[in-house]
Amino acid sequence: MTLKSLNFRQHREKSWRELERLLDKIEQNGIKSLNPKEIIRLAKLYRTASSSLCMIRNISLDKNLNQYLERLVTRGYLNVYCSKPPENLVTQFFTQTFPQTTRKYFYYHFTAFLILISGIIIGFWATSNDSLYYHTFINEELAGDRHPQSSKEILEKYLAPQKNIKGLTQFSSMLFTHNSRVGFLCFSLGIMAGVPPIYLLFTNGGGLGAMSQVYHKNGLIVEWWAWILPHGITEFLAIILCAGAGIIMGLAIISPGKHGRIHQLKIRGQDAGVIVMGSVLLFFIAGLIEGYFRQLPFPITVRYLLASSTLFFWCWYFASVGKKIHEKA
Amino acid sequence: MKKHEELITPENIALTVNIPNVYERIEAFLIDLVVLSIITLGILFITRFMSIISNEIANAISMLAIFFLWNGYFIYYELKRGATIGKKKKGFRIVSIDGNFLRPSAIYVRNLMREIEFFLPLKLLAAITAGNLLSIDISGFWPFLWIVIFSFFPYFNKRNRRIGDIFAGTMVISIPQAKLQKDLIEKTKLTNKTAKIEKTNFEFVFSDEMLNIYGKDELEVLERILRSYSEIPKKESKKLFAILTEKIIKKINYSETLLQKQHKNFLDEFYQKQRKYLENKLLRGKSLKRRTERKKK
Repeated sequence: MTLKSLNFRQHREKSWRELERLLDKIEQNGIKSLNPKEIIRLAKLYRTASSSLCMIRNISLDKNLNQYLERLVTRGYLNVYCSKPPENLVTQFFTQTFPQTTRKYFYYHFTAFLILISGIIIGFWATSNDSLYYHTFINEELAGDRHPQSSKEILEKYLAPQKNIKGLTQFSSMLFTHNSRVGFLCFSLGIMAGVPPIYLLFTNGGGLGAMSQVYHKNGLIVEWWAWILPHGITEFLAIILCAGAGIIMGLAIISPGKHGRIHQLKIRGQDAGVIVMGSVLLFFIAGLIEGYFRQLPFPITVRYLLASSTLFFWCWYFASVGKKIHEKA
Repeated sequence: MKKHEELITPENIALTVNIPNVYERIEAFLIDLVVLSIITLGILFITRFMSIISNEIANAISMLAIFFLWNGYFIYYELKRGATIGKKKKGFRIVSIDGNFLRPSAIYVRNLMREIEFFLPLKLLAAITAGNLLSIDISGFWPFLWIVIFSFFPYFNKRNRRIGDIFAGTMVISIPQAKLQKDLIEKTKLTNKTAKIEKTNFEFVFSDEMLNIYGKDELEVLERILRSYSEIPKKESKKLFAILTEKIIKKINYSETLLQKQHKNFLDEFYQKQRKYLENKLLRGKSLKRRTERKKK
C-alpha cells in the first residue's frame, strides 16, 4: 500500500532528524557551539523542514507527523532568527543606543528638568516666606536634626567630612542600589499617565529647595551646594532620565499616535527602557561620588570643580556621543 | 482550552503556537524566584564568611551582588536564549509578536516593568500584613487599585501578556517537545526490506461507500488510540478495541461479525484504508468532514 505522504516522509525524515540534533545542540550550548559547516547546514535544513511542513500539511493526515514538523519548524525558526544579541552589546549600548535614544526624547527630559527646578524654587521660596512650609516638603525622618529652628552648628555637622574611608564602600553600594531602585520605580509608575514621576520630581525638588533655604538662612548656602552638587548633578540627571522615561510611557498610553496604541507603546516602551538602563550608569557614578568623595575632606573649590566637571561631561556625552550624520544639530 | 497564536515566519509559513495560561506563567516565575532565592542565600552565606576579613567589604559586595542578581538574571537569560530557567523548564519562550528577532531594548523594558507588577505589590502586601499601611508612600485606595490592575493584567488581555510584554511588544509562547513516532501504516506493514514486498492480502475489505462516512476528526481519534493503547492495561485496551470495533462496524454497515482476536487487526486495517481514502480526498481538495456534517450543508 503506497501512500504519497509515506513516501515523502521516508525521503525527508533523515534531514528532519539531523535538524533536530542541530537544534538540540544550539539549545544546550548556544549557537556558538556550531562550526561553520554546521551553520550552513542549519540554514538549509531549516528551509527543507519548512517546505516539508507545507507539503505534509497538504498531503498527510498523520497528526503526530504534522505536530512534529510544526514544532520542529517553530524551534528552527526561533533558533535561526531569534537568538543572537550583538557581539559588543555593552559597548554599542553606551556609545550609540543610549545617547541616541536620550537625544531623541530631549523635550521630555527637559520638561522633567523644568519640573524639578520649579520644585526647588518653590520649595525655597515657600520656606523663606514661612518656615512652616518646610514640613510640607521635607520628610522628617530623613531630615533628622535639620529644621528651620536648628542652630548653625547642627547644620554644619551634617556637612562634616570624615578622615578615612571607613564604611564608605558600603555606603556607596547602598546609595547606588537604593537610588537605582527608586529610579526604576519612578519610571515604571510613569504609566499612570506620567503623573507619579511628575509628582515625585516636584516634591523632591521642593524638599531640596526647602532644605537649601534652611542652610541659606544660616549663611551656609555655599557649603551646602558644595556638599550637594558634586554627586547631585549626576544623580539629578539620572532621576530626570528615569522620570522623563516614565513620562514618555505615560504619554504613549494617552495619545495613540499615527500607528495605533499597541505599536506606539512598543516603540516608546523600548526606547524608555533603554534610557532607564543607561541611567544605572549615572546612578553608579553618583553613588561613587556621594559615597566616597562627598564624605572625604575635600576643600570647597575642589567640590565645585568636580561638580562643574560632571556637568560638562554629561552635556558633552549626551550632546555628541554616537551622533549620527543626519541628526539635527 | 489553550489559546493559540499565529506566528508568520519570513518564509511566509504560518506557525500555530500555544499561549500558556496565566497560572502556568506564574509557575515558571515561581521557579525563577526559587532559583534566585537560593543564589541569594548563597551570596549571603559567602559574604558572612568574608565578613571575618572585612565586614564592610562583605556588606558592599552582598548589596551589589544581590542588586545585579535580581535585575540581571532575567536580562541575561532572555538575551541569551529568550527563556529564563523557569521558562525553559516549562517549555516557554519569549518572542516578539511581529515575528522579528527579540530586541535587547524589548528585554530591558519588560524586566523593568516588573517593579510595579511584582515588587511593589509585594511591598504593599508586606506593609499591610505588618499593619503599618501608613508608612508607605503610596497609600490610599486608588493607587492600590491601579497596582492590583497591573499585577493581574495578564488575565485581562488576549495573549495573557504582562504590562511588561505590552511595552516590549513581546509575548510568551509554549513550545512543547514533540517526538516523531513511526507512521502507523508502516508499523503494521509486513514488508520484506530487501524484496520490498507489500502486504497485499488484507484481512478485511472496505468499500468506498464505507470509507466515505467518517471524516478527518474521527481518523485523528483513531490514530491517537492506536498510538497510545500500550499505556493502558491489556484488559482495558481489549475492551476498548471491542467497543470501537463495534461502533465502527455499526456505522459503516460492515457485514461480517468478528472474533475478539480480530479486533486489533480490524482497527489497524481500517485506519490504513481510511487514511489512504481521506488523503486522496485531501489531494483533490474535497471536504474531510464526516458525512453527517456534509449532509447538513
